[in-house]
Amino acid sequence: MIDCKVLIVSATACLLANAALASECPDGFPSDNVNFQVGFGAGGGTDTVARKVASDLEMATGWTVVVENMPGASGGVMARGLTKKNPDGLTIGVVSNTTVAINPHVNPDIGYTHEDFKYLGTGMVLNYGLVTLEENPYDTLEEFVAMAKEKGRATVSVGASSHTIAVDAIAEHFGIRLVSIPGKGSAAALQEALGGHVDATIQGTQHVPQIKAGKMVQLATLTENRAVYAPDAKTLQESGVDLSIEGHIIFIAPKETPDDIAACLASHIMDVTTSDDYADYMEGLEASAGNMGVQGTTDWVASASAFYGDRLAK
Amino acid sequence: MADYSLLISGLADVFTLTNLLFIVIGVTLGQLVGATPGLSIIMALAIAVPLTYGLDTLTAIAFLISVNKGGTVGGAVPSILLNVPGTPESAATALDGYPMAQKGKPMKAMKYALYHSVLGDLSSDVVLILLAAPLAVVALKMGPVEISALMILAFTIISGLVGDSMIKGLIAASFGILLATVGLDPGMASPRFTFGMLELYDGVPLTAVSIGALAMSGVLVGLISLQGKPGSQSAIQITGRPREDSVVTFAEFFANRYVALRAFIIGTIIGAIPGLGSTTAGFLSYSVNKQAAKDPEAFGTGDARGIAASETANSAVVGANLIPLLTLGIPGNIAAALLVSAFMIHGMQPGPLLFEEQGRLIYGMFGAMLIANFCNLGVGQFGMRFWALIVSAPGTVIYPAAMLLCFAGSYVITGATFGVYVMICAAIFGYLMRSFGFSIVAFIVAFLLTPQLENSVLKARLIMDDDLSLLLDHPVALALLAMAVASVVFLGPKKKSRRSDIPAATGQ
Amino acid sequence: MISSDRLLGLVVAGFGCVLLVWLVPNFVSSHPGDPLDPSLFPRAAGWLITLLGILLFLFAGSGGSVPPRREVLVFGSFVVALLLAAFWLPKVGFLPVACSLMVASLLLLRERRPLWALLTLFAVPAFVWFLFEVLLQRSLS
Repeated sequence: MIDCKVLIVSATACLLANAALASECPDGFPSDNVNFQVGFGAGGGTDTVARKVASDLEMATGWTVVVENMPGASGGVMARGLTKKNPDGLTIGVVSNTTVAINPHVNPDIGYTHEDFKYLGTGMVLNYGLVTLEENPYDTLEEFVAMAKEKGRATVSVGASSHTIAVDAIAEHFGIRLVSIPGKGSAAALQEALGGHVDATIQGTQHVPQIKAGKMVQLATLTENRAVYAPDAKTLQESGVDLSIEGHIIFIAPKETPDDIAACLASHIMDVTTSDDYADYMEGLEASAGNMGVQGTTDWVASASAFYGDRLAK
Repeated sequence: MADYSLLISGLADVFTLTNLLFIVIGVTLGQLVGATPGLSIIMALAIAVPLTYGLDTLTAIAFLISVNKGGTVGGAVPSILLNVPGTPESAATALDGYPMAQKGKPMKAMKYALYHSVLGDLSSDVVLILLAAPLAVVALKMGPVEISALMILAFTIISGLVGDSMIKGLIAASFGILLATVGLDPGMASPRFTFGMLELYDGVPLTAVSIGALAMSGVLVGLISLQGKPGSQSAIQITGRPREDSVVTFAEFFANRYVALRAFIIGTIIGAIPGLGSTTAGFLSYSVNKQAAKDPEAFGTGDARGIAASETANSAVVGANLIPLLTLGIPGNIAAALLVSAFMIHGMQPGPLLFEEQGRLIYGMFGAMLIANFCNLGVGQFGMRFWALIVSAPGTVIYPAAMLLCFAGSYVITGATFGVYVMICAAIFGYLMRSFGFSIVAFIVAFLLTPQLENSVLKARLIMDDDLSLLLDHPVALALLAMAVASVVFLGPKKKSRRSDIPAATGQ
Repeated sequence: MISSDRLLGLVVAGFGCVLLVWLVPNFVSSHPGDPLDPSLFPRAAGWLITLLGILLFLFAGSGGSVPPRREVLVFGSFVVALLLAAFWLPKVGFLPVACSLMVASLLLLRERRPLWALLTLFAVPAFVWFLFEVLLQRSLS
């Protein structure tokens, strides 16, 4: 039942999209399969978004879109390879902000910067939040800080280096000792928090079902605006910490990709990610697409890169 | 407590022709992939996920679970017939499976493996269905401190597998530890031993190492043994054996009940804790059962108990692995993570509300798991004859084919020749270890366990602020550490006096 | 001839020393005392390898021996064939590489029965290619 509905909705969306965009793609493009190279393993958030966009693109345009996973170094292996690919628009990288905005600052071997790519848009926003178990005696950032002051230290499990930056910023602002407990990915970090082994955790998406189930509470929202699922949790900026972090899943192409081909790809990705079907799908994952478009993505990556470069230099 | 109408309608959902068909296809595909050296179950699942886009949710999940279950059965086949483990977790099966096959009982060995695999899988599914929620709570209480202690215990128990020479086994394990430290370190994410190679940032790829050290080195040993005997027939003689050498009677099966019980408990516990895996479970169970036996020297000579210990435990992990996923929304291993992506593709984010929101689907999935176990048994029975037929081709066909499969499989892991080079290096290393009497098993297990150990030790130190007196707040960890000490003190010397001429590494 | 175990013990202990004095200091960043110290496990492995190598030298058993020269030659030939195959794979594609690898194994194994040789030469690469490229949709080059 549901499948049919989805099919019909996106089929209509494609017809409309095709009619509107047919003129924007150069003649004869694509001459072969379009390849999506995912910088992370199968099964993660980036992979899921890439596969969804790929299958929607296939339906919308009639192209064949092949998804390949090339994990390694937070997308770095794939991204470095992408800079050496033929810039014909047939190879598109799907990465996270860590790949382009953080990797070049932390790994001297990475061999690229955020300026080595053309940005084609984004596919999913990650709603970072500082969350804790519901049964813990603190429900707000202030109470958490008070607890940390009293105990002398508090532990926060994190899944990526960008999270550590946020933990350090909070600690510095309130003059408390916060210890980041590094783990392999957000799932491991969530597990430590659910087991009560740490005092709080920083999460991107997986905490939302836990909050809905009443098992966790959001102490603070790390993005610029308050989260829809936790309207009572103040943002860090509201609490006086000058920091907002946001995560995106980003589509990239080699720098030398011709402008007309890049524009054609970007507009198709924009159509797919702004469809109702895609919004429904994102809602199922407690997330949203928030495609920032070509210019928006390029600017955002540049500012994020500057921000992390500055923070990591400390 | 449970909503029975939901349960029944859920179970009824699965009995459609489409679902049953996909379960059979999934199990068959899984067994094929598991039995093919060079192909891993993870790879099969990653490939199967996109195939499920067009299917409805229950069919998709039933299909993926069937692939996973089939894979755990299939891996044992080449381990037994060729001493070339099809999957890393079946390497422990080769320790007794291959000697039994060499004694002229390949069918019997395969049947032991199949029956115990299905038994372990089925029992752990039942545990999942009945006890998932309480087990998940217990597993969550295993924090970094407890996991560190558990890993230390696992290391001491598995050191019982080091083989003829204690020193050589420990050297092999130390090299495993060293190799596991390659890549970004878990604390500061600084590169270690990467020599500027970005490909090494995530560590040496486990699959390539295990294909090389376990499968390819076995293939090369097989090829060498063929060289100069051009007229040779099949690698192993299957037909023309008396009946009792190719069947497993109920009495024989039942004789292993305590072994299977221990193996099942180990597999279920390891499976319920996120982050450990079926390879660990297989070796741990093999070690424990060997040490618990009255005649440990019989292990490694083609003893049915060795096959039962390994196969029951590595299959019991499969059902238990879903416990953290279904109750907490945390994938316990890569296979479970791929199931999450299947859930997500159908627009669901697994979490603590999964049972409430998708109860009918989950019960349907349970039904599919139970059916898949019986399909595994049926397809396995039939498949055995097929494998027996394939292996009856001359070694000059079988071994080059296995070599090519390992070659292609290690390429596909990374989508680049990097994986192939790693695999070749691991094969050379594995061959040298075999020749000089070092235990490949000790090497692989240490390589496998170290990242988990390092990560939990690091977290435990941070959580306890390097204050060892805080260990007193962790009674479970203390108990596990005490068991580790006891296993060194009590099993160590006894093992020495009992030390026998058992070939401990695969392929000796 | 000295026991191969004694020699191995020396080699292993030597490698452990190289690890401790050169590899770890140069290729692992080190923050002594910090719980996050990345060099803790590599250093521990280095000490273990050195000590166990010395122990092996002192208490060398009889186990293990250098394989016969013929065996090493065959093994080496297969490894060289595999390395060449890996090197040529991205340049000429899977099927030519696979068939060459099969020719190499047939020559090394001295298979003379034409039927089986043909099977190995053509059917095996075709089967592997079909398995990965068609059934599993994974590109092999």
